[in-house]
Amino acid sequence: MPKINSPVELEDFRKTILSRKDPHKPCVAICAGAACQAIGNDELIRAFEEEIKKRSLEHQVDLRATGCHGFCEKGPHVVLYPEEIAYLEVRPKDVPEIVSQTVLGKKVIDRLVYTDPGTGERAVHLSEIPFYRKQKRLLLGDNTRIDPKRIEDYLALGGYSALAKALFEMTPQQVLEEIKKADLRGRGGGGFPAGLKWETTRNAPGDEKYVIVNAHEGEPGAYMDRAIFTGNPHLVLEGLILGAYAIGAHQGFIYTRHDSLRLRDHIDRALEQAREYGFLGEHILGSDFTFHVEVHLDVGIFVSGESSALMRSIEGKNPEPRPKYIRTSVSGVWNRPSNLNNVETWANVPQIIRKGSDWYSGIGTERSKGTKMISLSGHIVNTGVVEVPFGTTLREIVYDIGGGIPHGKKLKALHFGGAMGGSIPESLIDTPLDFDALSRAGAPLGAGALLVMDEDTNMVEAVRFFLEFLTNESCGKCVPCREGIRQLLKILARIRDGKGKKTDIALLEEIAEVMGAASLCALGKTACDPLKSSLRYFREEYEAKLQP
Amino acid sequence: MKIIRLMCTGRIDLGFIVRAFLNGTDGVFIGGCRPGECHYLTEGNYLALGIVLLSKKLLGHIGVNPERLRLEWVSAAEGTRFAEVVNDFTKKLKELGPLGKGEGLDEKGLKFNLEALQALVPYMKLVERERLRVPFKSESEYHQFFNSEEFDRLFHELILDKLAMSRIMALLRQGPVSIGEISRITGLSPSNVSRILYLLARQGLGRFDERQNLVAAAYEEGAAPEDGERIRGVRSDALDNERVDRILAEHQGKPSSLIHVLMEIQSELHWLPKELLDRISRKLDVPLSRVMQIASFYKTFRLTPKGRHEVHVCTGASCQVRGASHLLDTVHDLLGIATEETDGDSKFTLMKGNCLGCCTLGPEIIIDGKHHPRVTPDRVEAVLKSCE
Repeated sequence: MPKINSPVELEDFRKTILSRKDPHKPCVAICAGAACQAIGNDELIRAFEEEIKKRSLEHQVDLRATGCHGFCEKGPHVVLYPEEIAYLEVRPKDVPEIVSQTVLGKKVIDRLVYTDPGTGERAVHLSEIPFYRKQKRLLLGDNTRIDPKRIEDYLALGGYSALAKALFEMTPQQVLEEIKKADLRGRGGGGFPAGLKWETTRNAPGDEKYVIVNAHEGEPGAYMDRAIFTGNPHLVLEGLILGAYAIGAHQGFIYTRHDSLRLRDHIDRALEQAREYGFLGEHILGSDFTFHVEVHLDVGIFVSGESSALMRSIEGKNPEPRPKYIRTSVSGVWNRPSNLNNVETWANVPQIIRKGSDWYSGIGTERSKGTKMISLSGHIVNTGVVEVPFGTTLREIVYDIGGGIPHGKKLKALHFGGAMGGSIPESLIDTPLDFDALSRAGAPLGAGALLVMDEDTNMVEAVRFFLEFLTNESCGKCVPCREGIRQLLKILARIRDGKGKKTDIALLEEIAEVMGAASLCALGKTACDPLKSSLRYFREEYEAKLQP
Repeated sequence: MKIIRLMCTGRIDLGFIVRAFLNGTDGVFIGGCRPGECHYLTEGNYLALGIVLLSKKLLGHIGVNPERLRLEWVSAAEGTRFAEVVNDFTKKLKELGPLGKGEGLDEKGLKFNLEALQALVPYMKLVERERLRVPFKSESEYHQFFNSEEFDRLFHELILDKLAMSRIMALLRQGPVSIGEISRITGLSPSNVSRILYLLARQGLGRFDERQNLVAAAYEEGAAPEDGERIRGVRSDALDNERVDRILAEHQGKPSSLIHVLMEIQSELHWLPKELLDRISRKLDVPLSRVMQIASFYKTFRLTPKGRHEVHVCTGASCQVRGASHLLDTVHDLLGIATEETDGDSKFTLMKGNCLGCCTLGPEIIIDGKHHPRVTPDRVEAVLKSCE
């Protein structure tokens, strides 16, 4: 495939791809996301392949192993195009029936479609399922339509048009301004305005600058970055190239987990194809812009997702964070200005350039624009990855989309931010999804992993296991974090076992205050957030366990 | 009866007592000046009291009757009392019978334990000096301390654990053994043995052969490390891996690629033999201390081979909320091992942690990469039995 050397060639190529596609041709899209893969959908894919071969339908039916469809609870998940019929909990033995009845016979198999547990109503098409109806899947929506291993699928949906527009119709400064105007805030947990970070990096002294994708996603309970990166790697890549152009960086790094083989495979292929077609490398699309990308793997440590630790790791050293007297956007990898953003943040960029910042800032709340991917887990009926506009209330997310609490239990608390986040009680469930509103309530959004806890959850124990996780992940460099967490664990274990002393709660608060002020990095500083929020809202649980 | 004269009972070294018993003595008697009456004001007899109380605990631990060691306050001037006390002690020893046989101990086993104790004496002296010296100046306070919970804790954490290591090292020096055999001979649980072997691996003291499930000492007395392999026939298969050699050749002389090299090798071999770490240090031109620093700090890297099956209980936040701790406890009860430990038959290694992002399947157990979704404690046994 010869390189694409101009926007015109790109559009021509796109037209060629579209002309080759038959919109009426049946296509079976099978979710190959992490959870579906774990319950054996590789077998399912093979079963479909065999059935299609058996009936000699290779030219009549397309088969596509896609990224995560989002409805993990009901996996394995199959979507049949062009009708967009969604089949849930599909097993290999259902395959022959699906092929003959639905693919060929165009008849719906009732037992495989979604049935509302309350009303018994069936929903045949993907968009009718309540789980999907309430979402606004700007980022994830294309997952079912794309084979992550084929760049043509991405191009068919308009991929890389934003890049062409930016490279030939906009200056780097203009691209930067659009992102600033759109008020895109970082999706990795910090919520820092991306445009400002880009600007700092751009204006920092030095000719060599870097852009980095943080695909580490170490937060337990967070799996949406993997969903978008495995399912639509080019979306993230396009965002990265746009950012590099705006900032003036010519080298990019993708830092990802070593244990997701499929993700690594998809990233490698995406990079290879992007280079082949001319979206990466010298003179991208025939412009003056050059950009290369390297992939680096983590070593299985949570702290290596922290921006300065990550940069140390890219340099080949131990992932140890450093205090940020000087921002990493000014001095990062090898002391050069490095702009690090989360996968989801980069994924938002192409649509902002393509459709404009005015359109983007029309979605969401006053200071939280756009949509957010949330991974639902814990005591909730519909576990999965959802995407909603900011401003959606937590009630809608938990009940309308999430399906509520299983086994008829009552909701007790919602926890954001994993081990470094906070819990809010059921009484605050009408809080809108918003960076600042949630921060004020004591449960900052973090990366967007929403852990739902029902009435039987012991909040003291919950805080204890978050701290246990952190104590294993602490790098050990500074005393407040290393020793502080250790002592907190001892005290909490004592309280949990009913041997708490009267002075223990004050002691916990004091340690938390010192840790927050004196730790070198965010791990130590925010390790006590679950503790603080649980003391704020669930203090009675602690007090009940103290000795009189 | 052999008499040894000292200027002060404070001169008594822990090693004297152990050596006496190693030489086959049936009893050790210590006579010192009365507490509080020291003419020289250094009051060394209190130190002796501490050493004797510690020694009694040690002897008791290896099965020797602590009454074989006796401390009496009788000065050189008190001839009559000396005779009385020694006669009484001799009578007692006759009742107790010969050393070892009187307690029903196996002769070789006792010698083995005493030698392990002797090897540990320098370390124990340090512990005694730094952590077990009491600032009290009365006998009753000494006795109280040595019978307290705090002493017990210190004794277990600081001394008994190291004694177990010393015993295991002594065993490894004799010849290659399996975890199950070590457990049988020393009486320590496979869980304990596995934990200690891991600690030994971190210090580079053991050599593992995952194919034969054997462990041997890394250093033979008088032999070069490489000869040790030949003498004992214990060698890790991992050292002959072609891919490992290729990885090393690729990164030869590049210290900055250390972590990545270790990652690649870990994912290829699933553990890092010490001999390989030596090789990495040489090829990449990185000091061994730095290689060990990284290999021992990150949990991704394992320094001992795993059992045939890796049982991984996810303890990420979502699985925890759904009851992962109960699962972990159940697995622990069924297999008798804690996390990062391998059982006696080297069949199962238990790991925890590391959310893989399949939260919908929680709480889950992942065995050899295969996910077992939504496991309840009552189903754990069946899941484990399904592994051969």
